[in-house]
Amino acid sequence: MTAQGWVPLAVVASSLLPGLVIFLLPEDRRGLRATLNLAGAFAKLGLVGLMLWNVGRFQEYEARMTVLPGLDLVLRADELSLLFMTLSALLWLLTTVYAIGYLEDSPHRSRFFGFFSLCVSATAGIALAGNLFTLFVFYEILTLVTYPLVIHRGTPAALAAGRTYLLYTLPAGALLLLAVAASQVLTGPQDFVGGGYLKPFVGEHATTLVLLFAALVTGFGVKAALVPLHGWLPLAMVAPAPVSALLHAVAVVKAGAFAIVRVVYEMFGVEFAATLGVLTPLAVLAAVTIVYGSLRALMQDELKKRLAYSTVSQVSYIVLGTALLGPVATIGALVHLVHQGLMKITLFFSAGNYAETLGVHHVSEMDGIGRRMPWTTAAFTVGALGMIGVPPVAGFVSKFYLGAGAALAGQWWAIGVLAVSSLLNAMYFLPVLHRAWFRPPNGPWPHEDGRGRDAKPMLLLPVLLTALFSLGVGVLAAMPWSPLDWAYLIIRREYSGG
Amino acid sequence: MTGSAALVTVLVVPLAGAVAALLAGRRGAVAAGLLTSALGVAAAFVLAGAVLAGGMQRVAVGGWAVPLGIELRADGLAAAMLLMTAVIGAGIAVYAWRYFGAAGHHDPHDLAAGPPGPAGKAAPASTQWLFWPVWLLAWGALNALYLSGDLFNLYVTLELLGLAAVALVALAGAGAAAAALRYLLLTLLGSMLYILGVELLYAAHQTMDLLQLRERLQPGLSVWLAAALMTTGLLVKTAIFPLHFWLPPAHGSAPAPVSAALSALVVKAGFYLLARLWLDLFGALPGAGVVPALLGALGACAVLWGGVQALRQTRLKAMIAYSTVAQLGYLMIALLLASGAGGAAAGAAGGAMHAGRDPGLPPTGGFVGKFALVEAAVRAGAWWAVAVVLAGSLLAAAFLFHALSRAFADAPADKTSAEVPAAPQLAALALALVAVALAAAGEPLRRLLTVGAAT
Repeated sequence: MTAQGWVPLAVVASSLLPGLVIFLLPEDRRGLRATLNLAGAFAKLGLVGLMLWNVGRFQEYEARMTVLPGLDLVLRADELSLLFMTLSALLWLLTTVYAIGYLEDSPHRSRFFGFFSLCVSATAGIALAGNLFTLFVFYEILTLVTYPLVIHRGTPAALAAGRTYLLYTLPAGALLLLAVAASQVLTGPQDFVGGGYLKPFVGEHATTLVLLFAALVTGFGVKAALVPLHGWLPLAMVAPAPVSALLHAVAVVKAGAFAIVRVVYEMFGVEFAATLGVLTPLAVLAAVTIVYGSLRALMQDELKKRLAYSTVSQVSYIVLGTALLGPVATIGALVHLVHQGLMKITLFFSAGNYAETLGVHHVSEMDGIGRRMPWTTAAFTVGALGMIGVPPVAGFVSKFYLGAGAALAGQWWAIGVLAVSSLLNAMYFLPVLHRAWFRPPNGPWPHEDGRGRDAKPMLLLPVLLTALFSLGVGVLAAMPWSPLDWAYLIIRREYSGG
Repeated sequence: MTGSAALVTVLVVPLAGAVAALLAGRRGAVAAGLLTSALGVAAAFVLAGAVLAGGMQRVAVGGWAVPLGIELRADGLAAAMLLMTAVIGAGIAVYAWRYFGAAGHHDPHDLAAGPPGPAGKAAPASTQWLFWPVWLLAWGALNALYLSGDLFNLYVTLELLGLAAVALVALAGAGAAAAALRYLLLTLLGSMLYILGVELLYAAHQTMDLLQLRERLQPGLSVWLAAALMTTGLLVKTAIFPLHFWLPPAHGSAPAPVSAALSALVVKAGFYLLARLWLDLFGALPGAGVVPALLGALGACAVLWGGVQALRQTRLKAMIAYSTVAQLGYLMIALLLASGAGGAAAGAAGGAMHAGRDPGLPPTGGFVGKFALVEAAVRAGAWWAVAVVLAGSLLAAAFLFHALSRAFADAPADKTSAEVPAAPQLAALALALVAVALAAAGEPLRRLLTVGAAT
């Protein structure tokens, strides 16, 4: 353990400990619970800020514990982990504020916030995992602690969604267990390293390595919702809105995508993966997912379901960028990891505001909602335009780099996929915006909260902030410390080192 | 404290505690039990330290050397088992203190809202305190078993342990009488088969000391017969499929702390002996590789059968009982792998599995054990074992989540109620603590296990 090894540990603990304490709190201690949550969230953000500052200056953070001989748990802060870590720390804070407002007076809040914090801790572990075993351990913990959030409401629909979630994630976990154990047998103890570490083993194990790659991508692809492993995601939106927001933007889906990025870049090494011939199938899989998700989104009337299929599609942008060889495509993938999170959480927060304030759950009920809830709808508009890829919102930057990366890699078909997807994105988001802003309301709202105004401040503030961030990271993409700038830093160290 | 003094202390503390608890009677039994647990943990730590520093510890009882007298020895494996037993035992003691302390308790683990079965009836309060002396006696028997180096002594401790365990089950009251009686008959049958085998070995080799026997062992019909008898007897005691049928009723009808003690500690003692016999003694026989393979196959059946049966149960304790059957199956697979090439890894797997009595989900010891087991199986190319372990872990996860979802669906939606269902929350807390402890203990434990390991 390096002298600074306590910092990554503290990052995980900053949500774990409040979570454990919250479990034991009685329901009515809302003040203490909120204080614990917010203190943990701010502490995490502060620690991540400290690590960002120092890692930018080439300092290393590593904590290592030996579990069995040759089997270490490693938490390490490097450039890539901090990209994901910063996103999750920031969005955890905002989602906590949102969730406190959203779940006011609903039952089982201690249980909810406890598991919510554990979920964030698991995500932090995934972000900071320094080897495959650690990544796998936290990935499985994430499965465990997300399940209670999905079935939180305890309704038959929620329980059914939970069952489906497990039906996908548990076999994936078993497959990963096998893959991780096999890679441990093959290579012995290895840490993630820029440029990968599997190249020396190709001699007599080429087939094994291809199988290993397939098993890892399948296992992680379940959470990343790659078609045909995506079936659980649209059902899981029965969970409360803050859970959906966190699931889609940071925790579960993003964890899968991030794990695939790690595997491709720091286990296999992207160039070695290309020589193995595994990148093209992955790219095709991502392309299929992108188009399929968009098509299904087009058919949904329920707003959250439409957003869920949109997630299926958008997360595969990250996978597509990862699977295209070349630094520019990589930048597109990495930057989209952050951008998609910011935009998607804006959209889910907005959907939650509509449901909570007016009882609006379906696109067909949204006529004229822009005049009734202008702030929420403005934020929703920013998110939707970003998803389509309209400049200067964040999504444009991602799509620009992905397209340029595809061109540089000579994969022109990928540009076609991006174009088709953008068209489909426009087709399923622009009508919503048109309804919201330009059509008159058709009758009274389904279930007004009786305040006659936009959403409650606790619900409105987070969504406005995330919308602002979505705009900001697009407009200020060229500034130092922007996600794009950080992605450049990762690439410089990744491609020059590897 | 010297190593040999620590060894004797480890043996004496629980037995003395049992007597003290009995004498202290209804009022003082709890205090005696808790105090003994604390002392026992301390003694086990001291002994482990001595073994780590000074190698194998031996005490010749009464000053009589082998083969005339009895020798107690603690090698690394024994010290590790003693330590784990002490730690788990202390946990059980704390749990029992809370469990029996709650006045007019009902079994909080019964998920089924149906009519209470025999287990639903609380034990008569007048006899509850007897848990303490009997449990401490069982603990003492366990410690004696781990410290014994000769086959007859092992028989005595095994018998003592079995009787104490039966008494623990019978504590549940009249409702558990049938299960306890069946348990008694089977444990006696197991001991009888075992002692028959020991007699045969003694007749052929004139010694019961394990180390001496290993040097003198001559292949022959009588040795094989002895091995078969002893193995069958231990399979009954360890509840290995298809001889597991006594376990679910016995564990299911016992009070919760008793079921925990039985499945975490008592049945594993039989496994420990089985492992000692086949790794240290009979493993050298020509053609002996068949037996671990057979045991591994039985283990595979146990994993699958126990997993499926666990899913079909409606009561949580019955589920856990069947999952114990499955867990024991993992141990048999680990034994097979340990008898082959990857001894260290599989041994570590067994050790970690012993510590964690859970479905093998992270971040618990069971998860690490499962991982090590899969790794050892891959290394040995035993793909069938990989498949069985993975299938078993899926079944176990399915049953865990099944129970969890019931807790969520049935939870009262009344938010003013002060009583929130604490089980999942506390489980989460416990898991986190186990993870930290395991991470901290991993390396010293590994070093301990290598002391005096048979080469």
